[in-house]
Amino acid sequence: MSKLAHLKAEWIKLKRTPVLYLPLFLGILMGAFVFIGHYGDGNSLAVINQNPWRVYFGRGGGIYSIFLLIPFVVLLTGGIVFIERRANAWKYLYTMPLTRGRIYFAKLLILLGLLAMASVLFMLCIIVSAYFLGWFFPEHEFYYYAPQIKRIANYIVHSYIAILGVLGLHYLLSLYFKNVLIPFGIGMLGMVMGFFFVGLDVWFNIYFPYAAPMAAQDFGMFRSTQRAFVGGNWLSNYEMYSLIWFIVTVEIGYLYETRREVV
Amino acid sequence: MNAIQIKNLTYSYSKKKTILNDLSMAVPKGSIYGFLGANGAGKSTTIRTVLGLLKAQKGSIHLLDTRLKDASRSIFKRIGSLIEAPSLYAHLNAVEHLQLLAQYQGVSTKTIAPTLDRVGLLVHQKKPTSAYSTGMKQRLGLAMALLHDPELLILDEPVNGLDPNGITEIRKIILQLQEEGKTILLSSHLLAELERIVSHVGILQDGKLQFEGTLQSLQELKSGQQWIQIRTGDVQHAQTILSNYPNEVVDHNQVKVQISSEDQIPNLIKQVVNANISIYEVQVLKNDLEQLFINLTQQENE
Repeated sequence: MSKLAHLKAEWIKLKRTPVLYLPLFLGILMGAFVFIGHYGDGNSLAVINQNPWRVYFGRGGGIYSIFLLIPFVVLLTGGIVFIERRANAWKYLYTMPLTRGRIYFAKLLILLGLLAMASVLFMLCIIVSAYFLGWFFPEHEFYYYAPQIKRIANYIVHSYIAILGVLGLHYLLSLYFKNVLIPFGIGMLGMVMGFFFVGLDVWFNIYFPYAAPMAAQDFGMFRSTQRAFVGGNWLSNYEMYSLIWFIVTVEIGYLYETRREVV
Repeated sequence: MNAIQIKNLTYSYSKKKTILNDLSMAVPKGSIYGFLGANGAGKSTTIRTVLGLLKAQKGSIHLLDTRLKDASRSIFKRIGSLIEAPSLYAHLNAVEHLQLLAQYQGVSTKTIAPTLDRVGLLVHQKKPTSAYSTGMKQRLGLAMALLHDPELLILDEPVNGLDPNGITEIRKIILQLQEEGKTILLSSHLLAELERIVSHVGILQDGKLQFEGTLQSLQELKSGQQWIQIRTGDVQHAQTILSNYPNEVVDHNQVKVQISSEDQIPNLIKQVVNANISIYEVQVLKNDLEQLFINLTQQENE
């Protein structure tokens, strides 16, 4: 069996499922949000000698980090696990000639891939929607300035790291709870709490995984005083704790999944 | 040589309820082993433990001459299974199901069409499984168990929910598989159905095996426990005449008599008629595997 065979099998399962269309939906939704917001009120973009892409990306990124990234990851992790649960497929999957660990990590890789796909689609949709806006409002000068690809790519990498803690945690929760609504409820509650913790700038918000995507790249919306850089001024402490959450929850999930009895 | 050898297996979900109680059984290679038991007897728990889905708390399991505890995952390349209702992804069709299994099992996708043809699903291969009937789903489950051409097939209630035609089709496939030299462990509570195809039988009750042996040995046991029922005008008198046979009164005009062979029936009737007792009806009671199963499990309860 090829080393990638089980990944291919996981990919086949996603055919025609909402999980596969979720990243595309997220990207289009983001592009549409930012476009409609500026279509109604574009004055803030029409500033002489100011690159409109900077403001446009900043607002798009802010909405993406604060309002959409957590629900997206919660739905994605829940959806991937729900595909198996609905088919009652664990009893069958775990009689295959490969270890439970390989199945567990194949799903995790698919999750990470779909999150990366969503990030890239978000970037593309933001760029397309900006050009579209520029077509209606040439005074914004989107066609005059080049898009700040490097800036948004940097943002995407950091927001990706900042959401990994939530992804690891929700992968574990989705495997543990049979009812798909429980992880979803926990995710929404976590998001609201994260919003308040970051907004109130409480000291412990750096340890709260749902706060990380909001605070790590907030485009000046929260101005968290807890944020500090570690590792050569590249990684923020929010991202570092998100990575720790990810590693710990993935390990717990692995131990749980490889030991549980399939009743 | 046994394809499955279980020794002193114990499993319980909680301290209060033991599901498998020191269970030992052996499924000979090349056999169709009928695994019988009422609902809740522990058949599915046994099968899930054999497949490693549940961990044996005591005892040992050998699959294809390898101790399950020490076996690598590659042992499952030699085993196909269908546990109760098949695990189907409603959004995928039959070909896609077998494609993903081909990836897991490391077999060529060229085996997909012949496997679907074997279970009669080739014409429905592109239909989503959400549109399948129960019988079609069960046949696809069987195809999924067969795709990698396993030596040992473990089928838990494979004819559950099937109509008589569906049962006949599955039976034909199972018999063909035995002709190819495969070993099949077949659990069911449709006892009369198993009697038609199995070569060996194990009867499970409350997590313990009440009987294990060939179908022939079971039939021999069965023949020693045949009953006939006589409807007569004088039950009391008939019972006295037939006192040299084990008997019991069924109701005011019927008596049930146990015989060891059908050859005893004419003589028995002659005895009653010679005593001037009128006989209105003589009925050989159905005594198939199902009746024997009930007898065996009742004996244990008593």
